[in-house]
Amino acid sequence: MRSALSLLLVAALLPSGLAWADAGSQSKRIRDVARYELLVGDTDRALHEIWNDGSPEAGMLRGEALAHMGVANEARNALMAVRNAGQTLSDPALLALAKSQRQLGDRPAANDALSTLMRRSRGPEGQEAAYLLAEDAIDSEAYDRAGQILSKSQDGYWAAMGYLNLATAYARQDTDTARSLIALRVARAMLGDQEATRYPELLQHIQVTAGYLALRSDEPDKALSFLNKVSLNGYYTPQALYLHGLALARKDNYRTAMQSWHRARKFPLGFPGAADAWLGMGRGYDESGYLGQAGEAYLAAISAFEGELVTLRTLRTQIQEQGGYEAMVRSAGRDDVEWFLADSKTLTQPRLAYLMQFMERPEAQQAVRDVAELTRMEQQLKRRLSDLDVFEGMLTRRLKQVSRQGSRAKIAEVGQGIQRLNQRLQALQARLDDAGEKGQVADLATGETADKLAQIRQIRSQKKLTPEEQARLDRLEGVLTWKAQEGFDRARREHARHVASIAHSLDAAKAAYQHFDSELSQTPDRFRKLLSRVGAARSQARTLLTRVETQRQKASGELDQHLMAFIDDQASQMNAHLDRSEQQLAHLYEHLALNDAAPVKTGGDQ
Amino acid sequence: MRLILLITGLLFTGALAAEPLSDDIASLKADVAGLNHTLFQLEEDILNPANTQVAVYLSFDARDYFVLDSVELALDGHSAVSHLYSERERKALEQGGVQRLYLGNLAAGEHELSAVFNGQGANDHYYRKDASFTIQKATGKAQYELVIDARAPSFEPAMRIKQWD
Repeated sequence: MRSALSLLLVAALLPSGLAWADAGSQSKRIRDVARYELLVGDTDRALHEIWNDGSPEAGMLRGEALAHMGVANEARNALMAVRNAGQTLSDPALLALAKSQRQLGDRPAANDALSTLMRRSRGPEGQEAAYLLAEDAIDSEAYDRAGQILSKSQDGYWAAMGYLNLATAYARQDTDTARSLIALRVARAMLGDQEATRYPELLQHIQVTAGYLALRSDEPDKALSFLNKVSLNGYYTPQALYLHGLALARKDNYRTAMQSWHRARKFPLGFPGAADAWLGMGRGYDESGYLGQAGEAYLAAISAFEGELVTLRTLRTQIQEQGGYEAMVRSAGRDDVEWFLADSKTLTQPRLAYLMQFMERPEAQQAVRDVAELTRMEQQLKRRLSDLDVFEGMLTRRLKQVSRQGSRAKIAEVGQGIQRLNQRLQALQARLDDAGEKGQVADLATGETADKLAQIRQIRSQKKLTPEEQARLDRLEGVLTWKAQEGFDRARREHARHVASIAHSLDAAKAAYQHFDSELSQTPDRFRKLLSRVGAARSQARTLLTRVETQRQKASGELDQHLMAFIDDQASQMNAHLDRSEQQLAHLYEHLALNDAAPVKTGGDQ
Repeated sequence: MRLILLITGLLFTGALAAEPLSDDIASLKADVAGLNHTLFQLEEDILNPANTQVAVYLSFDARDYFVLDSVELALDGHSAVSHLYSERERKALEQGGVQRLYLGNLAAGEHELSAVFNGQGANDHYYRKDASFTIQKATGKAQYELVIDARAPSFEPAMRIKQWD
């Protein structure tokens, strides 16, 4: 009862230090909330915030959110509606429109939007627009146009990616690697020192590609200048180490070349370059004249390749039994594709090595993204269904509680309590008025004086006093009354203020009680409506869960097919490496057998 | 050659033609987003009805002077929520986004809302600052925005509060 009453008692003074937002700014702030949620990747929440907001700004956010979710058609419709209403799309919204149009195959419209964006934006959207336009030009083999577009772009990640693309395209077309290498140098320059730190994988990618191309044009020194800058702990490391060894071997420096290959051998064979390094070791010993060690190196390579074929067979069986997503992605501790560009990957697991190589293919990324997204949706819907069960139980219990007669009786008690307090307040007010009018000084005394006067009254009522004691008490009472007289006006004002404050609190309590009373009468109906909404939502969620499960199975089937084909391809490559090692070993034995007849110096420790 | 194919594969990650399965997934995503809206609304109506609802938002206006690390929020002396910011969340705040830091329930009346925020100042000084505000919960939704800013001349980070209509 007391706690219920205290809940209802509210003070009316507005607290200080509180600024009020401008009227009408709340919907803008809610759009800012949606913007935050969109930027942190919570697109469902972002869409929810602006669901009923018909403003152009909300339309743009809606389009961006839908584009982010990959719902291209709806995203384009939302953004075109804003544009057709005469509004200029913001840079992120225009980029979202262009990407949706690209996804839907409408390249001319997408390129129009991207050109506009590139002209007007100096920010990241403008840079990405330039990258996408250049990519489109490269797809059409219009390399000069791609170069012109990129030359107008600002330095940064997107420009570096664009030049790397261009370099790759030149390398496909030209026998001379000069144009490719220049494009790669520009790509490196576009990253700058700061961006290179932010995107170490891209930097490594540029250096390895440049190293490979320099080696292709038979410039080992140039290749080494690029490859020396590749980090020793990244996805491209084994490949760079293998190429590094190859460049040194071209300079007949087999001893140092083997040091690079030896380091590359420490990486799982699933990484590009690692298997080549195993073969390189044999060749290095062979070329250096250490034929015995060459034989051992080839034997070690054969053993490694055979072991890897077992690993690949195990992976294949696991994919068949558990599904590719579970066997490869989840088992590697990954349930999304965002990790792919992260620089904190553990590079020692064979499974992860194959997964990373598999994920280099765009169709593989899409297949994993689809399964990951559908699995996330499935888990979310299951959680939602469980929440709905909890809500239903809670609402049913509450409905019973509020429908009981006892609840109403308790609330009525609170009302009676307020009434009693009000009567006491009125009595207090009357007493205060009376004491004021009659000048009853002792009645209005406060603090220590009031306490002492009360003690005197108590002593008089309880004890039979001697005349001397009576006289002393009379004197004391006289002094206290005189003191009370001195503070009479102040005490009167103080009492009046307290009474006003209590009256104010009681008024607020009455208002809250009346509100609560009316709320209570509406509560059963509200709970019944909520229960009906819970039932409808559950039915909708179940239907969607069935659809999601079906789609997830389809997407998982596609991913499994991609993964099996990839694993089979890897097994073929491993078999080819194995054959080559066996051939090299056979040649070596043949050579040794022939030399047995006519002994020659085989070098080193032979 | 294999390397070139490999590199090409990595580069063209965005250029995927829409597959029928992708279309189905997109349509499903749109429907799930619709259901999520219904469920968010229902959840709010059940757990945080308007008459007791209190929401606390956070915005950031000290981009060049302060790197926000974490925020702790208490209501009437009881810890309500604490949040450690990721780089992505910091950027979202710096771009004008507003974070819904807390959504809960309060009885009508006067309450104390206090917050502690931590982070790195422009002068390499690590700040841990607190602020306390008295708020008034009436019978409708109560929505407050905590604003972290840094004003001249000291540009020290500070927190103020705004009430939404």
